[in-house]
Amino acid sequence: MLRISGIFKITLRENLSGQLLWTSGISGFVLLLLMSTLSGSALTHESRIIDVFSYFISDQLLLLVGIFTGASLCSTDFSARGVSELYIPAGVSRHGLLLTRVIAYAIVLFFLACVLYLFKHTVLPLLADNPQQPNVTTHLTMFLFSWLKGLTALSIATLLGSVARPLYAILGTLTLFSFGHLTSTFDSLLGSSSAQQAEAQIGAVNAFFYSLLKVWNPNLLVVDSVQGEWLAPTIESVMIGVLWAAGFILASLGLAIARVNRIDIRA
Amino acid sequence: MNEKILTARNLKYEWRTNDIFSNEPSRILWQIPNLEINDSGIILLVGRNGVGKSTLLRCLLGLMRPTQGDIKWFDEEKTPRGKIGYIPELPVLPARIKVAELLRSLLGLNAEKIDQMEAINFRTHSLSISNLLNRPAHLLSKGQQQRFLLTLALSGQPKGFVLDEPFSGLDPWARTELADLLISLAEQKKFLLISSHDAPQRLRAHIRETWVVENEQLKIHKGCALPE
Repeated sequence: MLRISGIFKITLRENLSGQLLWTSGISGFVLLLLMSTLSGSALTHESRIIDVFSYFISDQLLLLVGIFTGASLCSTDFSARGVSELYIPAGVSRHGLLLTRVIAYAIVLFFLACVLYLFKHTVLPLLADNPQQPNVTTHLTMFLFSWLKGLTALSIATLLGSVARPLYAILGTLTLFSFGHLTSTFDSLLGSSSAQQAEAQIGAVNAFFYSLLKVWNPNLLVVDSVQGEWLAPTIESVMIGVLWAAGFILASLGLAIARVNRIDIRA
Repeated sequence: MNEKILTARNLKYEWRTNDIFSNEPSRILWQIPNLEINDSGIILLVGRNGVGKSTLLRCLLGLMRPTQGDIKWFDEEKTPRGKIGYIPELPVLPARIKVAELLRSLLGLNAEKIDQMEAINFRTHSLSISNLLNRPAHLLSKGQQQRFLLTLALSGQPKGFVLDEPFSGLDPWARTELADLLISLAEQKKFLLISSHDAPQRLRAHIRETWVVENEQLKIHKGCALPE
């Protein structure tokens, strides 16, 4: 147990003093500040668009940090000259090592999300001429889902990183998330008035394939809907989003553990 | 009846590429029908580059799985969890973490226990890393890393040690110190399995057995069977 808490502390220390976190944080601050400056000189509807962009920035930064961290986790830890060479013969199990590292990274992502959202909602309004009162429920939901999205990306990238090189794991995870966005675009296209006017109908086979494709969307749709419509989501949709994320995280980590238990740490 | 330290039967390792897009053919590194360690003392593992010495050590330690065969440590366990001090060939230590902190994490000890362990190591083996405790682990030199790894290996009071190329990259003074430490461990009835191309002369006189990997086989010789 003491060893596990030691791994946890070391992972936190490694990350909090690491370049990826600081680069992401500073980039986030700069971009959010830029958005806030633009927002000050914008008309009401433009200001809303800029606000949506600033959410998008925080969201995507967490996603990228999750992907980059997860993709290289197995290749650095479970390889020759990695830390597993020290921990495994000392009696730490492979899944214990992997899970502890992932939990520590999850906390690092949470910390980054807190910093970005606090900066956006406490520091930036002080600099604005005409600060707008934020809708607390919407903002908290955005914060929660940005973090969950980062965590989902971390888990998927960890899984892909356990079977492929980090670069392929990054590309694979990015593809999965981009593809997920396409499925939601497809959804809105089908629901558009022009499609309905043309009485467009999807065949049974296409509908089946489409339902299969939708399952592979790791994006949390509730975030997309908040970004697009700017409405506070219902408790139901929040719950569905959380369960969706939990499903992706548990499935990815379960498979990653199964894979890591079979990895040969070659010389 | 004495407990057997290591028993391995019908070991075979067939090297295959990890790259699913590569069509590189597989090849057998070694086949070992029977392998045992029953007693303390120094065993030297030698062989030409690429014959699979490190692979054999990793299979014995559970870091890799042999293609076939059974391995048992102390008559029961497949991996020697915590009972063996392992010194890998210079792992990359975590960046920006101090040596003391890394030791605490790896050993699951608090700062006070680390100091006590340091004192015991110094008394028993003349090994001290007290001057390194506040340095970042990844900035240690090869010799310092070797001392850190030895401290780590000694800390759990293991029954024996597995060392992969421990003399590689060490200066002559560090080589002599390390050889003396290994000899003193062997004299304390510990077993040491050492893979090395360049064991110092003073260590060679204390080698109980030499395991030579060649032509996919493991041949066991009494004493040191290294060419001069």
